[in-house]
Amino acid sequence: MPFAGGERLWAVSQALINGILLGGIYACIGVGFSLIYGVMNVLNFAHGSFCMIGAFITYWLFDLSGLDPFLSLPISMICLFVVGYVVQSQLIARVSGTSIFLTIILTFAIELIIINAALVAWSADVRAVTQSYASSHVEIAGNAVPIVRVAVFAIALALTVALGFFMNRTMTGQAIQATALDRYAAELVGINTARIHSITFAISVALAGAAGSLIAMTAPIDPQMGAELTIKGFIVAVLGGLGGVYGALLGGLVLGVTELVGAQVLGPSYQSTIGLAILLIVLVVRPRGLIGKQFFAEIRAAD
Amino acid sequence: MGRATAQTAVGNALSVVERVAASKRWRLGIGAAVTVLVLAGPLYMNDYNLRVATTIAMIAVLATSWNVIAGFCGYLAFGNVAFFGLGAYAVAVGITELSLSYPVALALGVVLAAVVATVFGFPLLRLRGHYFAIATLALLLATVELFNNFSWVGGTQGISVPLSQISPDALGNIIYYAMVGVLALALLTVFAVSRSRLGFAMRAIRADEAAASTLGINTTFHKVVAFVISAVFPALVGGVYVQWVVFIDPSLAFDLNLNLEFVMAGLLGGLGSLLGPLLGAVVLGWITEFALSTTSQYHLGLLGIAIVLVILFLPNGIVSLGRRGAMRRGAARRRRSAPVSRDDAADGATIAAPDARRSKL
Repeated sequence: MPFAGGERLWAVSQALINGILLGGIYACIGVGFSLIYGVMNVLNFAHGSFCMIGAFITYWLFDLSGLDPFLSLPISMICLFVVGYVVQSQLIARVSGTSIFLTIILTFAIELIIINAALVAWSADVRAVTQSYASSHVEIAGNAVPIVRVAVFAIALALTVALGFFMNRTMTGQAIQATALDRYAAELVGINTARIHSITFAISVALAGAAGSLIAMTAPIDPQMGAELTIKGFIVAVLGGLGGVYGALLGGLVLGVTELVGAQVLGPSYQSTIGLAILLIVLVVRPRGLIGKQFFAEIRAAD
Repeated sequence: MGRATAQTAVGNALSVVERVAASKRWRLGIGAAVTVLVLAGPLYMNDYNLRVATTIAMIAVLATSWNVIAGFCGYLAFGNVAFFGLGAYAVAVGITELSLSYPVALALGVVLAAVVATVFGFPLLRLRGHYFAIATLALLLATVELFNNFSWVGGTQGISVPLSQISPDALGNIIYYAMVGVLALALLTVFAVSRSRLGFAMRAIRADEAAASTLGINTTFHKVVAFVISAVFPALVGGVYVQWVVFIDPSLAFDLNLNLEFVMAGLLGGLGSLLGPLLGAVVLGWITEFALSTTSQYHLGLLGIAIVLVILFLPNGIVSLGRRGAMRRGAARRRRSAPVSRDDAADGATIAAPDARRSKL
């Protein structure tokens, strides 16, 4: 039936565009996660809850003082940078030299504490930021796309690219990459690796907060949104190759598109399953991810 | 100043515990007393305490069997609660849809878990460290999603198991003994494994997998066996659990908090030892009960803080206190019998070579 087919195609193209836009946010989450793993060999299970904090900072600034969510972005990033720095230097640094188990469990515990605190402070209610311009649309390829989503995508993309620029063109960025390659060699050339670890964690958490703020602008938020976001972070990071910025960007876009197009084809309740299936397939078939270096995956996997 | 005295006080307390934990006579005595207390449970415990004890036994089984893959082999499987859920669902579906009897349904659950563990074990156990942890977690989450979407196992609505004719008190007692029985079975199995070639192979894999395989150990086989053992017992307790709570749905069967609880119990008690996870389950059970009864709002946060403290101060678990005690006694004995050598840090190797330190390549 040609009419139904045409409608299906339109729905898929709508999903494609939405998927790309969603992918930008996923990339932002995944890049932070990937960075922490690549540099410090730590799986930050609390990553999603930092996103949640960023989202709530944006929400409360909007609710209490009417501050436009886009303007609250730098504030949420700075707050989370500080939080991340403190968490890493005081807690995670003490155990990251020892076994993998302990750091994983530690980040789990941090997540529990953060979520509990949020639930107690803000109750489990779902909240939403409703800006006045939330409903204005823009036409892309025959689909109506909310302008907020496009702006959010642009910002997420810009942040990710900025991180890549930072990593490749600044001294600190180079120091971070050096520490990731070989911590002891980095110390030998005079890099204060403990401080670099703290800075890396802080940057990742700041990006997580930014992603959270961006999410707050497009979707409802609640204190328990973090867990699912952490999983997305995993998937993007593994998909893109742990440790790489541009890989995470690619991974985010792939995940976003596959999820939404797949949901269109298979049904909306399968959206999260698709992501998990991708994760499992990638882990078994190609653990180094789409563009990760073989070297990195093998070194890490030899723990 | 205050910090120093507090530290000495804690140090003194810990050394007393270490000395007790290290002495064989004390250990046997305590073990016997505990066994009697456990078996006589329903006689002196009220309903609430009995329920707590049953939950502790359940978590102890989960932690002990998880120890086989995580402690002995060193593969941190983060999704084992999936097997618990599978066992629970097998019993629920077996009794309601397939009209199986309870023991047959239990057996079905166990077999199902073993099959799933084998089928998924082969590809997943090729991954190391972090990747393996993430993969098992992803498997767990995928299982949750699948069960949420399958309407023939009730979807998100879950399944109710028909109430048995037994009175709630008697049922409570039966479930208690069932859990304790499974716990005994699990401990025996893990004991047998740890003393056998299987156990040695697993520990070799944890120490250095590449070296172990060059020695001729079939690492894949041993890892899969460990994974299956760690899957079978959760399925068994899952089947018992569903008879206890009479209702199961994906959020109860595949509870991530339960996952964290038995992982924490294992960590707290000490992975790699037989009784560690059991001790950890008991202590964790007490802490959780305390947290829940004082303030149910903050109980997850308190659990998180407890975990952080354990990781910072007792990373090798409670059992490490016993080991440290044994080391101290050993060193003290050597000091008494060999007054010539003043170097007890050399652990008995008193060859006076100038640089007797072994370099770690």
